[in-house]
Amino acid sequence: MQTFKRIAIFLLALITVTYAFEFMIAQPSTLKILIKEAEREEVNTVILGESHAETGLNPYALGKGITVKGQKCEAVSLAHRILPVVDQYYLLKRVTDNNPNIKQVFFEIDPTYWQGKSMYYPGKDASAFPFCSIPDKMDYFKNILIKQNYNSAFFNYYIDKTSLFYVPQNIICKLDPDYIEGNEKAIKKIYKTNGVSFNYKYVGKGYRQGVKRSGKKRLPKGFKAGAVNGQTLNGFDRIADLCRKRDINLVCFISAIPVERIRDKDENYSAIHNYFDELCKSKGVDFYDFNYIKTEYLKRSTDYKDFTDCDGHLMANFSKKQTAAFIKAYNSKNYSDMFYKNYNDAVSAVKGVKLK
Amino acid sequence: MKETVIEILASIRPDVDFESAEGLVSGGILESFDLVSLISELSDEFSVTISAKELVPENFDSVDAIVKMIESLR
Amino acid sequence: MGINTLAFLLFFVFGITVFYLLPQRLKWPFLLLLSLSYISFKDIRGIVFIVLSSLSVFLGGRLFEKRNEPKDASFRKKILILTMIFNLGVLFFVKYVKPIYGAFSGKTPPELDKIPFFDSIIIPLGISYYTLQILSYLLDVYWGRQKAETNYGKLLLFTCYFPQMIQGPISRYGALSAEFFKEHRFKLHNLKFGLQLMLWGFFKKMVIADKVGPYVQRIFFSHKEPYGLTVVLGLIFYGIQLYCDFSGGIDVIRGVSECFDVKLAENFRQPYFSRSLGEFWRRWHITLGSWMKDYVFYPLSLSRPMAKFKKSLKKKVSRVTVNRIQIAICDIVVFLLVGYWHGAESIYWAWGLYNGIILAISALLTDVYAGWRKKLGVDPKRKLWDNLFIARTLVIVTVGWIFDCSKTALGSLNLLKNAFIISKTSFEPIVLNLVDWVEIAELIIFCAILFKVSRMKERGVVVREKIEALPFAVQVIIWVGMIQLVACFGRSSGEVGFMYANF
Repeated sequence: MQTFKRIAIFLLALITVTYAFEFMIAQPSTLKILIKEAEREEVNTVILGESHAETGLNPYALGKGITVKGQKCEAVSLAHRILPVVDQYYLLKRVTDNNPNIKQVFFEIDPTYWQGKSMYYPGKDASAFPFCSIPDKMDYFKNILIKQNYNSAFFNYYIDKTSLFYVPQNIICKLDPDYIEGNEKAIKKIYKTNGVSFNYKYVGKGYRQGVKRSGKKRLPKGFKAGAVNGQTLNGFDRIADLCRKRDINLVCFISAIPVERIRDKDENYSAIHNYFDELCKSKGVDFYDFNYIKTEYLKRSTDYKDFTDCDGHLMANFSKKQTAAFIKAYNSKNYSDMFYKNYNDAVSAVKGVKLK
Repeated sequence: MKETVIEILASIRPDVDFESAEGLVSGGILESFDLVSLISELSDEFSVTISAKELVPENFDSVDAIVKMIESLR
Repeated sequence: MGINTLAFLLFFVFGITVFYLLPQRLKWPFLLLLSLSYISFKDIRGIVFIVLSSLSVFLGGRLFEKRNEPKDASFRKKILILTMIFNLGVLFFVKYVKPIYGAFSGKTPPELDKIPFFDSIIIPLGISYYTLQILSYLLDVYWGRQKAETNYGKLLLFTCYFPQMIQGPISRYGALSAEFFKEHRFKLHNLKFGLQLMLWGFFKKMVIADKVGPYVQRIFFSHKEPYGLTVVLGLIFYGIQLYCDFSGGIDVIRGVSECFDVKLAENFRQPYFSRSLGEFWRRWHITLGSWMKDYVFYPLSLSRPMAKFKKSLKKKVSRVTVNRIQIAICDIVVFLLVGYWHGAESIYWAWGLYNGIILAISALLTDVYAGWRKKLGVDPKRKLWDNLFIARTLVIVTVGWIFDCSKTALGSLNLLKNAFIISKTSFEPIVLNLVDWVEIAELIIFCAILFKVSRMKERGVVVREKIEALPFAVQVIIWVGMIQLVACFGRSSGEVGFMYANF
């Protein structure tokens, strides 16, 4: 009996510490709240992607310029920083299961998530697993969770460079009545806890605006068509298939990044453009690359005032302009006329920029 | 023969007392180059061919074991 | 099914549960079934290789014992050579044909993959490990040290035992079969110690090795060439990464096996505390070193051609010198083989040669070194000299890692040259933003934990036993703490893979 008692005490201690750590370290979830928003029956458009989409496309402005089957475009952004593409599939499945009025998906492509190993970010509100239906949970378990580090199945948190600084705010937020009820008001508070509030302001509908520059530096990541992550590609395939099956209009786009990055040979941007252009053609979906757009539709500049950092998160003003360009492309009969056909033209078109 | 064997061992490893030592190989007292030197000397001294077949710890773990092995090869 | 994935954990739990529920006589056949299914998860074609190789060795062993008269000696030799050629031939073909063709034709790996012939070559899981392992059985039977196994299933289990398929250790039939076929009773102690060893392996691999890995990537395998201290730091990081990755993986493997009540040999014994390169190779990848010693070094030393060579030398130089020359030659041969075992690319044999030459020189200059030690008044019992020897070995070994940090041997030598251009040192790959210092601080703490535990092991303390002797509450704190440490800090990605897998 002594042994069983010891094992029981050990397990109890482990489980208690696990729950305590999860409460303290795991970020409060904005996805939880935004999914609820996206499932309101008036919503007919969903924006998917990672952090560039969060800051890049303004759902309010979309509503003013786009109509969906005669109705005003009512968009909610489910884009989330570091959310893997395959999780975006499960999110889309969940909201379109519950809201059949969704007839449009604007999908942002961030090439850095398409290279390298499959990433799974426990405790960063970057997983669709908690929100899946039971059959989808099993599907997720079989396709994704079982291939992950065993810790991901049991411990929904991890400590990175800045996690510990946010513990007090995490606790306060999770005890807040707005958060517990799932009100969108809580998102402004959540933003204070996940490190993005310093430079961004949450506006609504999943959209945040860049308001201040951060000094963060970034090393070029490069891109190889042969090194595309299989799971990411599979996630995209599933999104495209789901949209086709449910008669949902899928539009893909790459949000603008600083011209300095595109000019840097180490980034290999022409390979990026060609790869995704091919991919979208093969799926029969529209593709807007805002790094190839003609300057009369979106003026890109060489200084960084349009972005909050070198990575390319948009400042409020620039995202307004990008959304306007998006609307123009969406409404035009032949959007490809709005874009340059090759890398050299796209780069040298920006005033004062010569090819490196 | 025993004295000759001890003499040879002592010339290779003067720091070990081989009269009473056991586990020369299994205990790691003799290292691989010691063993190679030993085999070379023993082969020459006693005109026997020591091959890989004989290279088991039991044959080299003590002076007596070595003597026994050499005698069996003659 | 990487060893740190949930899939493997579930596989392991299933395996353990069924293993201890089955009656004794079905236990080892179940281990065999488990091992074969593990291989089929990776690639079911691997089973064909395993069966053919083990069958060849099984038949070879039986033939040796059947035809054991002195007159059959040449027949036995022929069978030995045939079986060895077959198994080594398969290994060579699967691993080396592509890079060797590439070296001669000048084609790069992506170009080679486009050729259907090379694209179709599969590398069966664990082939480098199990080939050596079954050859050790074959040679032991040939030399009469081991009785031939009469039950093919048992030899098959020896060939494909799943914990070893990932990265060893390379076991001997005598020791491992005793473990496989003994009576296995469920003892909570085995499970407890096995799980604890697995946790320690996960700590080394996931918390340290995977955290250091990105630095090594950024320093050596990104767009910017490293210079000066960047190279030095990169080598140190790589040394930490390689040790923690490889020995951590081995700890997980041994822990898994311990849960099945099968003890596997140690493969690492605090190698960075070695006082010489020779000692390092008795503490690092121990089972490969001892395999080379028993099946290459000694047989080569005692072979007829070598004896002839030594005889002819004895006319010119002293006996002692002849032995030293012979040892030097064998050292170089052994380490070239060690290099080639890792791969056919120039970085591997160049690294092998680097180690072989240093050991050969130290064999040839034994007296010279002894003379210097006397002159300098070296007293190995004094801590100062001990630490100096350890530092010297660390430098030699760390410089050797340069061969892993480039794609070619020439590239590595170029890196080494660049290391002296101190002025172009850049710390950007390591600390780009201020907040990156947090990670460095974490890394230092984790390495300190590793160091403390390694020191305890060096002094002969069995750490798990020491912890078991502590009060229960302290034990709970320690183990819950360790599990949480790995959970909180041990995530870089899902199936990162182990560096010594795919060998």
